[in-house]
Amino acid sequence: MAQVVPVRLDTEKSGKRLAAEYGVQSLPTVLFLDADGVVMHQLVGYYAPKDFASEMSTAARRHKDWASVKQILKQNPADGKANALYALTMARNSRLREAEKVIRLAQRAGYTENTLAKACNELGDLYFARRETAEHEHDGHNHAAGSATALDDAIAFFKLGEKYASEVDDRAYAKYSLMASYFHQKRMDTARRYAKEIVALKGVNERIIADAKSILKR
Amino acid sequence: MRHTLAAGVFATLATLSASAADVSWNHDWATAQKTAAKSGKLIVADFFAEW
Repeated sequence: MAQVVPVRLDTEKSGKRLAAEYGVQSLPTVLFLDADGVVMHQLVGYYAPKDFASEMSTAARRHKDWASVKQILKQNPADGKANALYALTMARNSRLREAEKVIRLAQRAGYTENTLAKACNELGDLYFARRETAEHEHDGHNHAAGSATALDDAIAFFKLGEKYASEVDDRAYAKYSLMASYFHQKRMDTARRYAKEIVALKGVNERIIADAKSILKR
Repeated sequence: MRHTLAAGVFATLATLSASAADVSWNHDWATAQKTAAKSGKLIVADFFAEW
């Protein structure tokens, strides 16, 4: 095989441990990984060959970028862009603390470009998911507090995502996530403010606009 | 569905290969990792279950 190493892993047999490690919850799932097991991209569900090829190009591009990032950071650990890309990859791998630490390094280097927005949005998503987990842990005593803290952390990172986003999709995603987070906090005035800003954006996904309009109707 | 996906992944990998005969699946993670480490290639891991 010229460009990739294909491996089939039976989730009931030899692939069981790995499936648990990577949180594979539904089948089919295809993960694209580097030799160290860092996930570059993942596909859940069926993809027709043409769509699969397109997603594989995304994975191949990220894999190439990831190799450069590691090389650059070896020579200059403070490089802003490389740290932002590193943070994005760590966030995509749910390595929350590492991603957070590296985002700070990118900020310290004065890096403010869109890659940092993507990393902050991914990190915001991780904290948002942590809120959901905390809410469903009914046996613990501190689940309400844990949920609130995770949501505050999510908001802090979505705000950074909004700040650094120069691409409309990432800006819209940050605003949409802020709208959803404030909605969960029952801070409707702030949720509505973000909904208005989303509706005013041009070139945004229709579903996002529809959700923002539904918040404005409440 | 399971077999359709595998066929799709296989067909896609084959089109990216110089020769379809080159496409063969590893069934062992450690071997795949070792091969990728040596070649710098991307691992495509297809998680499945026999139903």
